[in-house]
Amino acid sequence: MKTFEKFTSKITRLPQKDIDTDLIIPAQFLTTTSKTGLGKNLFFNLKKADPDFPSLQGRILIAGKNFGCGSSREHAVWALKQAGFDVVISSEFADIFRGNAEKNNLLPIQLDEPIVQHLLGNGNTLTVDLENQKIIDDHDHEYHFEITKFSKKRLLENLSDLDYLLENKTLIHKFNQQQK
Amino acid sequence: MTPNIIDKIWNTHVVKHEVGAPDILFIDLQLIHEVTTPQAFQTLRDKHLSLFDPSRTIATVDHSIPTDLERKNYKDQLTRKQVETLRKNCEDFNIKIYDVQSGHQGIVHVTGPELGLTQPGKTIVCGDSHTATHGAFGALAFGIGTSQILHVFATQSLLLEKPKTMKVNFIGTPSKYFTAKDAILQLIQEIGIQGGTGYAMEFCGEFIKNMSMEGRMTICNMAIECGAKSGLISPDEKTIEYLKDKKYSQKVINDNPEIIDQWLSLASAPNAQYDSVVEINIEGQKPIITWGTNPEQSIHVNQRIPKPQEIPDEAKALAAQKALDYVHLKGGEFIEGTPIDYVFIGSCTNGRIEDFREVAKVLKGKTIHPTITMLCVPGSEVVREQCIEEGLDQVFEEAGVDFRASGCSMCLAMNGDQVPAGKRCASTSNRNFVGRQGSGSFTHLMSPIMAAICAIEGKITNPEKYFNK
Repeated sequence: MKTFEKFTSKITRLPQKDIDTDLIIPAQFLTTTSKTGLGKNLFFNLKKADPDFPSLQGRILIAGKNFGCGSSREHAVWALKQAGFDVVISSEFADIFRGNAEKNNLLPIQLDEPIVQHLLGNGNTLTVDLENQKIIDDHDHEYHFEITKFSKKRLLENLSDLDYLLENKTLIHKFNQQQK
Repeated sequence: MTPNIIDKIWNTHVVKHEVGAPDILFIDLQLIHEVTTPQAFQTLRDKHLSLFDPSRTIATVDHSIPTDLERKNYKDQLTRKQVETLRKNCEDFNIKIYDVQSGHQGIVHVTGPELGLTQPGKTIVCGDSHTATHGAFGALAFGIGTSQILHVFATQSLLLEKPKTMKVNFIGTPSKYFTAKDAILQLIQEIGIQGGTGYAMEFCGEFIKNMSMEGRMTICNMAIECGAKSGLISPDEKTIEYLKDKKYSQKVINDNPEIIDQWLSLASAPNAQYDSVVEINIEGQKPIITWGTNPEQSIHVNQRIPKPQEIPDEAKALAAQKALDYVHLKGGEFIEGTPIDYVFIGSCTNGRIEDFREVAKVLKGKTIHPTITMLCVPGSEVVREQCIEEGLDQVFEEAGVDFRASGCSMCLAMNGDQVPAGKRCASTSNRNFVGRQGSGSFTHLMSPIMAAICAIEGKITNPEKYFNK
């Protein structure tokens, strides 16, 4: 995986709130034993239900509140990544989705609801600058976002949770022995 | 500060606490199934890693497994391959699997407690969002993604920030046909489907105390439907009674009888503190049913469907209109009387013996409405066997119900058991998302008792009216 560099991109907008993981990728596509081939079925049921569904463009998705609620399927994140997205902006993310996203270098950016509403209605492109924790719109307006130090470092330096845990394996072994 | 049970379990499982980093949390037990694990096993192989402790992982097949009695009717080659891949992975990595015909196959959240694997004070994870079911026994249990499954395989640990804690206190005595399912639906309706995000919840109150272990599992099961990381209930005598004769817990108790007192001591003291406290008044409440496309969109069965234009929150009003358009219902109308095509009894929410007993009680000596297709899918082989032992299978057969083999089945329609497009299902499962039970299908979530009544009447029916007519 690549490190997370500053970039500017077009935007896909889905103003609907509570876009659940079944809407991101329905269970019928979870029969795979690999991580690949999911991108083409991203938002399958949304596309089917809505003739005006926007065409997916760019690396940034802006969505309504509570994005990714529902199931624990990491397939939802894989599908988004495979469809070209590196950032999702919303005013709230479901816990499991957020965790899955960060582990796959998909950056969940949480902003206040009024800002998300503004971005859902205005502008053609956005610049994402993780280093300085801000996004910048077409008119050079900057919006700061919060991210834990740990998550930021992980994305910027392309570190993995697994490596961190493996480094602590001796400690964990000792703990396991005490538990038994 | 007096710790609550969530604090106690978390604090005794922290392997490493470092400022500026999430905790390393030790995981006592990982339950696995065929859908979310193949990619994790593949990465183990790619990285030449072994399982940290195979005895702490237990497998079963549930999501993709066919529910015909012969277990032959796979939806397609992919689902078959997924099940076979899990079998091979368990063999290669020395993991105990409760496969079909083992006597214990079933939905992972039904079999775990039945086997006594679920015990108070344990940290339990599974690549499935309904893992909080195990919280009914005072375990801290939560759903994880495939990357985290890999982490637990390789290190028996996860890197996690401690969730905030919330006490959910159910107050009052509800009406007669208001069940555990109705209570959790009411909580979700009141705090919203994101109301629990960032929290682990403890469910409290007389209503919970008096509830069976099966009912407690139903409540904890749906904690995720309001976004909570976990949901649990402090262990008590009922918890111990349930675990006394279950395979794994019985051995633990026999080997160390003092563990019972340790388990009971986990319970939150009355003065335990929480980051947030919510009170849910269930006094006199009527049974609940969902009308929309998320579990928050619900009403008491005797009420009118809300008019979107009268919902003050603009985003919620918009979502309501979208949902009503999808499910072909109108705001302002009564939900009672809406014709139903399918009835599904089962899932990790309501697929336990108590649920089938309730359904059989309603169906006994009756036949389901001629326009209805009804599936009863037990949560496990144990539940199915018990149904047969108690003669419930006869009741189902005489009523015209398709009584199938155990699995997740029509809850998420992965294995081919699905509701056709345009058809309406009364379901005891946990999600009414768009297309959840089959592309283009409509779902109404409710208790088993109401679902059984809907099957007889062929339409959405208020249990009170049904029993009093």
